[in-house]
Amino acid sequence: MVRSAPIKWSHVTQSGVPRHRIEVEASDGEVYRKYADDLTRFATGLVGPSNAADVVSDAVLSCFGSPSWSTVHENRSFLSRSVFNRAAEFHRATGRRRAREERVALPELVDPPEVRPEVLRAVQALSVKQRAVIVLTYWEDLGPSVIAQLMGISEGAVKRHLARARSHLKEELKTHE
Amino acid sequence: MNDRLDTQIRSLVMELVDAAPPAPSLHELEGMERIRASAEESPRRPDGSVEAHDWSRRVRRSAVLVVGAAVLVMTGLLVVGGGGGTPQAGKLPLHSGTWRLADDVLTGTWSQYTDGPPRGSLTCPTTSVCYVMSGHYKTPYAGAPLLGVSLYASSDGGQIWTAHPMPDGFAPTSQIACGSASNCAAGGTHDGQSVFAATNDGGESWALDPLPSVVGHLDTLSCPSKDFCAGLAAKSNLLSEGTTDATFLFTTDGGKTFTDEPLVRGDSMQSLSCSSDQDCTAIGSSDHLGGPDNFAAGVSARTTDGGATWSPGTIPDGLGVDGDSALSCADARHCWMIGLIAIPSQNPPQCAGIPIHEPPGTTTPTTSVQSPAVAAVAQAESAATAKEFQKEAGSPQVGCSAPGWPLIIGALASTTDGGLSWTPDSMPSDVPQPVFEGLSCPTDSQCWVTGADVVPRQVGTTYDGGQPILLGTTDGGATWSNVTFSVPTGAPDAYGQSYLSLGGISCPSAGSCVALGDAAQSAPSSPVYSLAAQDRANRH
Repeated sequence: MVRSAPIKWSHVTQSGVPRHRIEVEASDGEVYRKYADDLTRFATGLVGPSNAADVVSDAVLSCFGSPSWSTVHENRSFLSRSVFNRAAEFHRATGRRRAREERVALPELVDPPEVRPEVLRAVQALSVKQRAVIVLTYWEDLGPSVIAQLMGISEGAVKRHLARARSHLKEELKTHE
Repeated sequence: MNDRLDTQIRSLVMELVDAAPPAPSLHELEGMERIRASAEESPRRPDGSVEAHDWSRRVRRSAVLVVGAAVLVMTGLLVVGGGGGTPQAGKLPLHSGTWRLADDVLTGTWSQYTDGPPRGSLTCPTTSVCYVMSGHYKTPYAGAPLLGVSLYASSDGGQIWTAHPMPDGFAPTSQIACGSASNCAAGGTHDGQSVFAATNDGGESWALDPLPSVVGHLDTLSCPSKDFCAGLAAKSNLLSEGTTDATFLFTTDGGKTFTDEPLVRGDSMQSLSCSSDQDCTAIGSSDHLGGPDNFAAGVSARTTDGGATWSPGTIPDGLGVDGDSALSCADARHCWMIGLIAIPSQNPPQCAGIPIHEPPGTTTPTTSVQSPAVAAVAQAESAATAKEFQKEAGSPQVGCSAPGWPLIIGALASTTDGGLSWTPDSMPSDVPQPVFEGLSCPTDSQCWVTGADVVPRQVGTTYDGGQPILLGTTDGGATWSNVTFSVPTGAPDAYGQSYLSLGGISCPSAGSCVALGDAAQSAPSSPVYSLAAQDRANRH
């Protein structure tokens, strides 16, 4: 049941330059701009639309602040892995979160577009690694070897995660037919 | 089979990934970096706060509840100029006298200050002492992790605020309630245990007393004296989500011991107000009227013996109660409530020809047939809406709702018998589709309510489909007047929303109120509006 849906919305966007901000290096900015959308979609597959931007922000800033960042050649792999790691941390933290905290959040902002509950349920049955493999396989159309490189795991591990994820989803989807 | 499974999985993944929000801009990342730096510099702020992330896409809660589908028609994107809130800790400077009320149609003088405490629950036990319990969250989005909770205290009617951190790990489940200038309490959880948090020194120190395990958590709280506090306790979900069978939980010794009493069987009470340790009134929904799914049906109950027995009251047909409803009792007999009524869907002419589909899973809301008194209020509200839409006929940015679906809007009702019977109050004709947030009624004749309507308002370069409203009555609800504010040019509004709605209000006595702007949950401060007796106002 939908209890309320907005009839009038306000868009509040920020322009201009914040005061006292710390600039991201120009070259890092270029890298980020190139992969930002892909990373956000990947994060959405891992943690859902409401938290994707947060996970991406944390992950990217963590990369940019890492001493090894300047030596990284495969920027996309490095960033994707960081998003994946942040997503895994997010799930651990979320497990400890209490519903009460959501209550006092007093929702003021409308969440990003909704995903059907059955889709969320199906995805929630998967581990973060399985989600990552599923998103990269079915959204990005990447093969196991590329996924392995992106995630920093072996090709065999990718295939195992994919097989388990497909098996889980097969059961989930069956129950909703 | 595998092909089919692959197709299904691909479709599922596409649906999920298609819901991706816009990637954070580089600008936002830099803002985030600023937050991080700020947090590292001062990790032990009293309220645990850091300057919040300036999200580039922030959508404010609508000023009207629409049951059914709605779409936004927007032909222009409005951009807000930057501005900075000041991270706050300890004493918060307020620019007394800087901002003034432009148009005051009621007695007294409302003043406006710009740097109040963060958004939170407000209560003022005396004309000079006020408290706000505020959570600090990781992001402005709903459901964001709670990082800490502080009690902000003011001893000068809302001008200067001092932050007192509440115990680590405490997460409130109720609003703050104060039985005296220094005795306050709140329900909450701590390490998974439902607790009653109490202070007797204005928030400098706290005691966490566990609630009896069988009662669940304390959802709403009312403390008419320093020793007596009563609330609605629920075992499972939050009352705002329609929990049924809440019980009346009270303490007469400041939280050392608790007594649990049942309320009216089959009713699900959502809000409670006690004017003494004997007299309390509750409002809610009832299973026999369709429960919380019926937006336009409510029930009430009254006790005059401290909760031992409850007498059911009657709310007129078509006047609903939900988890966001509020109740304020000035004394044992005189109370007001924020309720809900349904009015027919109306759209501005710009919506003609735009196909609007109902969201998946949406079901037609249940609404009761309206009593004549409720129908009269609904009719007046429809007329106010039509008048407003006429004015907006040339606007490039309007909202459209699905035809045939009722709009559920805010309504006010009053009782003079402690809640046994209720009368809907007429609204001013210039307040279309109000949504009410806060309610405080200090006397049997005076009551104040805050919220927003759907008259478009622009503050600086921040546009909203609604504007703040502050309504007051000084004749027992026979007439309500709208106090309007003019936001001064250049008012800081880094979070875009602070001046576009009003949140909590607390009026400890006639002619003395404090209200807060309805800021985003991560905003470091919100405006404070103060109605002060003339002698205090003269000092500003």
